[in-house]
Amino acid sequence: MIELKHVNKIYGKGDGAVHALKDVNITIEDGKFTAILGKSGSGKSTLMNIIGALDSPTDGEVFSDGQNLTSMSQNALAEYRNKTTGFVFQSFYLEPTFSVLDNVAMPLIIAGMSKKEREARAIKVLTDLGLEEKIKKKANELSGGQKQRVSIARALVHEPKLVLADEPTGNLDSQNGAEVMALLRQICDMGKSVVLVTHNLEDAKHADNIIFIKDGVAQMRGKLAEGENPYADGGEA
Amino acid sequence: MKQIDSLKIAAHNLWNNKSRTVLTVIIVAVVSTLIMALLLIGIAFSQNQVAVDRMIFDQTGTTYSLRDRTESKSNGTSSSWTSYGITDEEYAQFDELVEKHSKVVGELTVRIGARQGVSEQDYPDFRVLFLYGQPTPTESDFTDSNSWFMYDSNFSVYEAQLSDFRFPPTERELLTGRVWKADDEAERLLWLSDTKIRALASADIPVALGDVVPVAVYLDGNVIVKEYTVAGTYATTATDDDYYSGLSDVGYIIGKQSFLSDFGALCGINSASMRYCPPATPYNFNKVYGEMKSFTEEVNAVMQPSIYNYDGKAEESERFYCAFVDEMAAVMLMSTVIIALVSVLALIVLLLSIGSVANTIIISVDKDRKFIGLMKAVGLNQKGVKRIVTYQSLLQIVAGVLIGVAALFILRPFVLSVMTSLFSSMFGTFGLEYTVTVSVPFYLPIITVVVFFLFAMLFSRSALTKIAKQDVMTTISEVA
Repeated sequence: MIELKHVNKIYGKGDGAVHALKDVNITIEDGKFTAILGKSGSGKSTLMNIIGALDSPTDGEVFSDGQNLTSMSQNALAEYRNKTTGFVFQSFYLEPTFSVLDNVAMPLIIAGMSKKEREARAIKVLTDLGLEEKIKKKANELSGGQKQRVSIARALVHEPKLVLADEPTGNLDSQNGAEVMALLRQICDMGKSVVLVTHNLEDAKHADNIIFIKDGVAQMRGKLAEGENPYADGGEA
Repeated sequence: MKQIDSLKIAAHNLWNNKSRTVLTVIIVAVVSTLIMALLLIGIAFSQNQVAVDRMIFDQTGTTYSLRDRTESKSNGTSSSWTSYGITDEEYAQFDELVEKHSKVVGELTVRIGARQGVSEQDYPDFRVLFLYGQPTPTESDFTDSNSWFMYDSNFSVYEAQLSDFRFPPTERELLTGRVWKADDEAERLLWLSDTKIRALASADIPVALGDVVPVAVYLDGNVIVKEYTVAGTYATTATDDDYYSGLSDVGYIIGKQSFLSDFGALCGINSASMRYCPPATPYNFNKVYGEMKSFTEEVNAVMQPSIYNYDGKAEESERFYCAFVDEMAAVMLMSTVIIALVSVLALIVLLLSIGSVANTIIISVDKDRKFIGLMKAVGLNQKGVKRIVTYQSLLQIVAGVLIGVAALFILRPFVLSVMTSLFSSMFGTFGLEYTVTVSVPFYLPIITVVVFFLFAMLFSRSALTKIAKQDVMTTISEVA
């Protein structure tokens, strides 16, 4: 379980300071699909980065299974990310000249796993995701949908507890987007916590819980009801 | 992350950015070639200088000399000097050390002088005289207590030059009589050189084998006279070895024990010299040189130094010298100075160029920030980033230096010609058949890589640390 208590994030100083998150108090439950929903610039990516220990809050505290992330060193946070979280980015962030296999195995390489073991695990994840024929290809030889699936494979290969996806369908057509969302749902059904950052209501409908965010103010809501549009009422908490 | 994986990722990053990598490697290669060429000149000079010295040593051997302890004073206008000779205790210790290091000691000769404590002013009154004729004179025959001259016409007087005097054994060629044996040490026996016999003959003092020669030692009116028998004659023709050993002027050889027993009240050992010629067969030079050095140091450690006092400022000087050890010390000092000079030059070249090398490394790493950010997102820590960056720099530097080594082999003939002309001007007059060699020592590229790497890391440290410490979000945002 991840808890954020009175989290604020301010970029810059003085008159130019931007208050990206304002007194955020939320809980991400284990094994749930949580969507952070909000318009562009609302602070949803900042919130995801803090949840995933990619960024630290200006003040407030973040707990992961009771462990205070805000008091951890940079190296401890790196280890936390390597063991506990998996990231899926809108722009995939694959190393174009690496093979698909090496891209997926990257968290395991960093963890210091032996070549034999890491390749076996990467091959299994890629096979599970239907990418077994692409294993030896370079990442830049893949289509957008394939790249995102490779990115998901990389997020899963080290069997993290938490998978964070930042606008994973943003660069995909609707069919590939739907496939990726179905995949994330499956990952959640396998018992992992999934946090999806999106501005897309259709994607958010896959989530068990919604964190709606507007101007840095976050509100926990339940599953999005059919036809419900948080943007319609201004998204006010 | 495992070291091998860090290395592979570093190599991958370099391969991905070939043009930048090639540029960095070329810069490193040019600078390292220049640095190694400078160092090679210094090293080659040192190696060849030592080799030439060893060659001279092989041909001529070396001499050691133990000098009397002296105290001298000078104030610019006047000076005085007193000799204290070599005390019995000192000589006993010296004898033990000679025995201990007998492997590097050859012919030992001892010079006599006036009894210790005799000042410069008294010294002219000290004489060793050979008195030819019969009967053996007594002290009363020296009528003038202030002169060494004898007025009895029965005697011919020949003054022995102190510098002509040697104690046995000697390696000179025997002409007549028999060679000196250890048993003769206590006997009153005398060996003369053929040149001395000729000189005596020209002074109307014929001396032949078996003659009994009265020897008188005279000091300040005191005289002791003893009879010595001529046991042999030897050739004084100076060989090259003799020349280098300073032994060409030996005129008399006499048993040390009997001489000191007879005349010790008036004279004593004033100095000792030895020579050592290395074997013609291959031998361990370093071991021999090491022992010679130890021998010299050990003797000096037990000898009270001589003192030279100039205008109230006293300076001590050691009394035992080994020509070759001294020569080698000078050579080593010269080599050190030359190597230090070229090292300073190399350092200046390094410092002038390292900035641009470090810059290309920083730019190279900076371009990999996207990849570094991605790896940090999936768990790479700062140490891991630094390790990859370090390997990237090291790989480029090693590649550059290796190319530099290849270039150095191309430049080798140039260094060789510089060395050859330098050595022919230095040693050409010796007539030594020495071929100058210039070889690139294996440690030169290693040292260059290490120094280059350390300086490159030092110059780029702050920039690389900044990249390593940059938070993931900033990197991700830049990448996005």
